[in-house]
Amino acid sequence: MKTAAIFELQDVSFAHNVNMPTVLENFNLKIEEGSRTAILGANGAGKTTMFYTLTGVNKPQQGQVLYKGEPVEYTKEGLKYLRADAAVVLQNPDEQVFCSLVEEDVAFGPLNLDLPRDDVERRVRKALRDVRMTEYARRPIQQLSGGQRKRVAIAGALAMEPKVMIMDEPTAGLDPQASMEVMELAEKLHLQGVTVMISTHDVDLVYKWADISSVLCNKKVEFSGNIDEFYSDLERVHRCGQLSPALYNMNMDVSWMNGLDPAPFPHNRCEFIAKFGKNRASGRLICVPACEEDACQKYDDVTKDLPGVSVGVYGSDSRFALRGKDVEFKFDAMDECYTCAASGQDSILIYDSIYEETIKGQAEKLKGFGMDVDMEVVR
Amino acid sequence: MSETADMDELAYSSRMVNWSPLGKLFFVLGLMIVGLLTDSLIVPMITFTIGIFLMAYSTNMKIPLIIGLAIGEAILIMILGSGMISILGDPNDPAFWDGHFLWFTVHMTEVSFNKAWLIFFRAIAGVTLMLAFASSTPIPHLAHAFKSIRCPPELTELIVLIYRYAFLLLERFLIMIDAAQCRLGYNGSMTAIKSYAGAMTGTFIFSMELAEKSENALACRNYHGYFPIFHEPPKMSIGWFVLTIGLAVALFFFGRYSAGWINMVDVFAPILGW
Repeated sequence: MKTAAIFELQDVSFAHNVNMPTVLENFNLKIEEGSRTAILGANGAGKTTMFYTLTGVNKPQQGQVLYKGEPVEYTKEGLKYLRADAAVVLQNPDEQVFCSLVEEDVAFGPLNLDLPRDDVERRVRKALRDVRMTEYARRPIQQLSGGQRKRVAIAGALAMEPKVMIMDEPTAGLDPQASMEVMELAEKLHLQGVTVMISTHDVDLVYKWADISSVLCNKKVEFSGNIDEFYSDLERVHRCGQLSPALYNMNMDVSWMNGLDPAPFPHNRCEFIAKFGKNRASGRLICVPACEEDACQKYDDVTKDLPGVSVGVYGSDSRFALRGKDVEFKFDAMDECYTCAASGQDSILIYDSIYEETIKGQAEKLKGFGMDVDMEVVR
Repeated sequence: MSETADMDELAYSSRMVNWSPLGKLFFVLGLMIVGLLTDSLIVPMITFTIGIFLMAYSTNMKIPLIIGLAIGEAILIMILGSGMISILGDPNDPAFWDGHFLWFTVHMTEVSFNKAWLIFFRAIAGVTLMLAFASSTPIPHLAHAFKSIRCPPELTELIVLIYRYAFLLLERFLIMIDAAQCRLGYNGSMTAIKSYAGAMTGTFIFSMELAEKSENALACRNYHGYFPIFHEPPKMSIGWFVLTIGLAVALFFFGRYSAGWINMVDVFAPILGW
């Protein structure tokens, strides 16, 4: 089924100034509604400019930007409508975060939409909860670390309750755990029906996440689609200032060594193990959907029956609830637990209920690698 | 942490943060003006005491070092200024200290000495009152209060933007100075001048870049010329009006009644042997 494009750039050319060289030239790109899109490109390729063009900050000199099939109107009302739907998280939170207090900044966007105060309060509470910054609500921004500021910037965008979330290098400057949390949040938004666009230089991180990847090079879209196709042309990859992900390279090498077809391409560790592992019998994977309130109880119940089995936690609510518990995989736990299963070991995965579709989707993907995971959902 | 963070933190953690910003401003301005309208030394002493009390209450006696130093510096400047006034009395009046001191011809009279003390107390009363206000009123609250009295929105927007970005640029300048220091940028006076000039130019260029980036960032968040406040401070009630006018009138008449009660020459004469 073909999905409708939520954003479309048609032959867009843009220069910051008439006397300056163009940053985007005859630029064409479609962003599918509800998709997970990665935007890749070398420094200066025009990723940020493209994001600003999508949100109406940059008005193209040529071509047009369509939002939901309609050309963007560069009027006050037209831009208000567009920006109420499309939220941006900038690379540097210090450029985005403006107010002195955390909750004041998160409320800044919704207040600009003239929403009722109750609605603003609800949105602020929810956004801060989603990024686990509730206890910092009344803290001055300057007291926060870089990672916390990034979370505030993300919360500010979440509070807009956008239909499109544009994240410009959201993991830049973050430690690996915080990066994982951001990717979980991006996945959560996707599951809520939000179209998520992420620009990044971390090819390994988006390789396992994105449905569609678009590569920008020389002011144009060089490639858009399934990224494995792009990586197969090494000369093109290098011309675009890119490098292929480690997992892609390993798959190519091991496939060649074993005389196997590189396809299907594993996009995460569990798929790689499922494809090449010697142990073809799956370990048991106990899946436990939970929420912050019942995660501890469920942890106690399930670990009592299965002592010594590795436990992973996926999702910020469950992770927060189980912060004092003995959890082996605190980050990237879905991949870790499926890797256990693919290598014949039992594991328990406790996750926020919203991720159910992602968890089950991974089991389906593993079937494509010849691995039928022995999965049991405990409610 | 920057000065802006210090002031912000102080203001948001103040016990007076939820008092009406306009009410507070009206109150401190009222006391400052009444201090200027009377010749009594007692009135500025009273307003100074009120300012100190309010500042202590506002900050819960936790004044950051940088602000403490700023107050100390202000007092030092006032002492110097008042000292100058006291030694430059009317040459026709009898002096109790006459002569030369450094580059100055000293002619300290009773009138100039008392005037110096009056100006000194008025000045420190003004500083403490304004600091009590500043340490309890975040700038967005002040801008919001100005908006409520129909100040032009461009003005209130400028207040917030200048406050937010002036300190950021200052921080940037200091970082550039440190970076220059790491590369021997102060090895010789000419090099130091060049380094400072470079840092200033760099800060100026950065301010352009920051302005553009911030404008884009604000546009993405649907900013349309006004900075809204999540937790709005209360409006100025009639109570503030009554309190300020009542206190100002009382102090004014008390000031007229008590003018000349304290003669600082009499206070210092036994100590200094005048």
